[in-house]
Amino acid sequence: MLELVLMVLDLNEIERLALKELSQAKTGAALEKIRIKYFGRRRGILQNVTKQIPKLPKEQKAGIGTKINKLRTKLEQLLNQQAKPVSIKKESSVDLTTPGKEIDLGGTHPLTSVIDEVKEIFHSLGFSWIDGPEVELDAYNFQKLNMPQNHPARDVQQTYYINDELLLRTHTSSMQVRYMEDHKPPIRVLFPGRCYRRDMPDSTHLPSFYQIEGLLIDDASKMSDLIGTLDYFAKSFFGKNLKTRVYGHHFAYTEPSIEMEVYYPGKGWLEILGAGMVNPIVLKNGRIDPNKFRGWAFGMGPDRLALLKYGISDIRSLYNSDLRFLKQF
Amino acid sequence: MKVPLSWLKEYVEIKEGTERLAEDLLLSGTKVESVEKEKEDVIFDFEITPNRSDCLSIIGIAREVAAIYNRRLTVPAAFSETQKEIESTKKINLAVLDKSLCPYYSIGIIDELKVSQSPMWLSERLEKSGIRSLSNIVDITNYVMTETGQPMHAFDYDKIKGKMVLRSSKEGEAVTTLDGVERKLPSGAIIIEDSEKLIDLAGLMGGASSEIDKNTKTVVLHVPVYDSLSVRRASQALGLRTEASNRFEKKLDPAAHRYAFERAYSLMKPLAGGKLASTIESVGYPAKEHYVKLPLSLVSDTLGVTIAEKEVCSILSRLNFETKLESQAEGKTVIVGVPSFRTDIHEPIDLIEEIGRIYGYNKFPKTLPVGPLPTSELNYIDFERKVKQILISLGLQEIYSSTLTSLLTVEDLGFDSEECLRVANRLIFDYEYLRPTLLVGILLAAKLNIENFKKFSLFELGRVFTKDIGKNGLPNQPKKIAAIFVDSDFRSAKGALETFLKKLNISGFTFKQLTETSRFGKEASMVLIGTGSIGEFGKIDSSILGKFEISSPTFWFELDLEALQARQKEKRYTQIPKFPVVKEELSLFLQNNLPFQSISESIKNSAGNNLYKMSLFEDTNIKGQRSVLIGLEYYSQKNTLDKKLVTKIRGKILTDLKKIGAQPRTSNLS
Repeated sequence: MLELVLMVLDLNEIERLALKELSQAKTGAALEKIRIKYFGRRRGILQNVTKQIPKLPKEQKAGIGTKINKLRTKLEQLLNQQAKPVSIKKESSVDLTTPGKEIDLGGTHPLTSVIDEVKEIFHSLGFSWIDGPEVELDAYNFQKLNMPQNHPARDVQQTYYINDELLLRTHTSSMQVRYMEDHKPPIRVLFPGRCYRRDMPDSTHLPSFYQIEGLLIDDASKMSDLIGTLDYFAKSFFGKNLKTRVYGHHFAYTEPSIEMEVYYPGKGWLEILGAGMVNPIVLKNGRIDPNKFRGWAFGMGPDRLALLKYGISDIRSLYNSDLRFLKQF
Repeated sequence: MKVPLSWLKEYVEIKEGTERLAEDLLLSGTKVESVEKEKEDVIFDFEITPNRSDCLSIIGIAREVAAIYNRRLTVPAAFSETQKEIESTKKINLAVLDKSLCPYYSIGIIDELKVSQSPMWLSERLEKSGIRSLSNIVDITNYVMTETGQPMHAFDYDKIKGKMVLRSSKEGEAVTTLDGVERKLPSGAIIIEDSEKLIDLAGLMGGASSEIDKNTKTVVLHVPVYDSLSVRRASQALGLRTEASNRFEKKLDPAAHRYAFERAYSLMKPLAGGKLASTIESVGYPAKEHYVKLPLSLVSDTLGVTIAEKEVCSILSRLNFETKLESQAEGKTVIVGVPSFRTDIHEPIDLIEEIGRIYGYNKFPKTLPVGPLPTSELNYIDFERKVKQILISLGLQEIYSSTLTSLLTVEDLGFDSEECLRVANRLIFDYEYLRPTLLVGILLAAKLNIENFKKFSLFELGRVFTKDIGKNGLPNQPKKIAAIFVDSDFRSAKGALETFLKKLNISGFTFKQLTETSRFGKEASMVLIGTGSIGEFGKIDSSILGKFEISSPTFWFELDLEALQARQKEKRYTQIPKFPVVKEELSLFLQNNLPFQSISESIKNSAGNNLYKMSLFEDTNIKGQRSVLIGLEYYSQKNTLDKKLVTKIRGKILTDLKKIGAQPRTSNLS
């Protein structure tokens, strides 16, 4: 009997103390202390009282459980009520038309975006990529690509030479034979990288610019795959409603050779790349048997793609690092 | 190659409109650069690829038109009378010393000429084709060259002294050409001389001494095919290109010289009263015929489209190839006779190109490759992209600058220009030296932007160039990653670099003060991993910044990309703390220029496994003494740290710090 009286008294006493403490609590931290003191899972007072229940005489047990729960609910409500005004500060009303703060982020150069996009499109067709030397041997830039000394297709006037043997590569096609020498078919690879031409800088020419060469060699490749792949690429890059067309052209290192044009509303047909079946002589130079394997290759200028895609009129804006230009991308 | 439509129509019927014709020519591989209306006529300008010397002629283009539309090509009849028409004592006296220089030619003497202006129709056609009209004789040679693609030269017979000799030039010989310029020749140019002097820079331009003038009565008409390489070399060495050299430097039809001679004579006779005063001598004529075997299966395998044998033969014969079908063990084969003007056709693949372009590539099915995928090179991480993305996330803007720069810029950065790789044939000063560091372009970019922006950070990824030749015979040209922080401070810039390295999962890097002043200032350090340097980091000296018009504190780093890639480790997860972390702050006075690295190493050693995190909160100077406030976090993965253990750890840290000269501030005060 005595214990039961104590328990009831305890509950009343607990409630009285808790209410007093709650009324005095001014801060969130103080409220948290009260919460832990009464509701803490291991040492909370209500938890302790609940633990005592099994020790009570049978006839009293049921009533006590309900009383404890009522007290728990009451205190919880009071705690929450009192916590609200403390935890949520009232903000003064905001002019929603006020601009947000500008956040200064770094940025990707548009050429990188274009090159990455080209890589991604061809990656889905099983192409990997690798870059190579920009100061290159004449042999890889010209001779092994079926352009011996004094070949009319090598324009000496437009080539920067370091000496008789070394030059600044005029195209990333220079990687074709280098790659063939180290890899056996099947080959599917892109060669993105910087190239050089001895040109006066103007809105469409720069002495150094970028090119992406693609090369595929296997025992089943054919011209219709090349045309289909380039069309797939152009549509992926510019949009699926794009119109493309190809026509015969001539490059010493591919045969048959073609060029591809895309139709750009307002501008008409614009050439975006050259391509062709790898010349059997080039395969031979790359130590690949042209009787067993065939391949195709293409070369495109990401600079030109960037100009078209973003409506830039001057290639020099890609390389003069003006933040007012670069921050737009 | 400029072609007036009216002239073209003389050889082939054209019903199509201008635009349609231009498109049909383009789509079959004859690229139209421009189409211009001129009075009643239309002038096409074609880009002729170097393999198609036959298309450097009106007849050549007409042949393409005839092939596309399957129409008849009608070329002017040559002069049928090829025997001399008048008795004459005048003799051709040409000795070709090296037959390979001029393996094929026709030559003859035409007498009783009256030099005058050309008739309107002729001079107009020439002018429309971009050639200036001079006199009837010279115009006829140019007219026939434009028409047939075969250049020729008329010498004034009476101005030639003695025997004509065709030979290779010796270096230093000189000839005054038709334009009045005296040209010093390289060795190996083809020249013709008489007994007194050089009279022709063969293949490039005639000599002034035997020039046709208004009194010329007799000409020696020489229609040669020169060695293309010799002409090309001479043209390059002299920086001289002419309508003739543009043709001679390509492989010309070895059989066209005879026809061209007769054609020229057939015009000189009515237009200038000329009479053949010698027989026409033709050397190396007629040319050998040659055949190429074309297996039909190779056509469909290469092109990926099946073209009926009838159509294959039709396309080829429209292009003037002879065709004969044969059945061989390996399948049907076409024996193709190659016309002499197609000097570019040797292999079956050359014929497949002809079939493809005339059949029309736009009629091909658009298929995707079906061959096996390479298995060795796929699905690797794009390291360069990763590097760029981390720097961008750290607030840096990517730039692409020029790899070629000027002597001035190289010297402004304190480089000895002799150490830098340089192009031998610069076009302008701004593009002469290959950058020895990425800072070249980055500093120039900073200079450009300082006018519009106060504070910014840039980076570039690319190659730098050295003069050292590597094993592969190439100058070393490693890829680097470099950055600049304009209007920044030491800790922000270094923080960016450290975060960059950590995000690449590169650990164990240290910074070591450079003993010598770096290229960009004395506040610079090597970035080391172990004992290997992967690059440099530092502050740019104001004397250098001044040259680039920058006045705020600026920091830089340049790291070797390959070294970075080699040092990055696989990401592994480390267990986050299971038990509460104890945080406290430690305030220290540092004595005797004690570097912070010693402090951090000491704390790491003392706390051992219990150190979760250490950060520098403040670094100040109090009465001449350096004072740092360090935040420390202790933990244990086994249990909750109790007060006793924390006190023990702290005690050891402080004892060890005192030994190296770091005094806790509080204990100093007490």
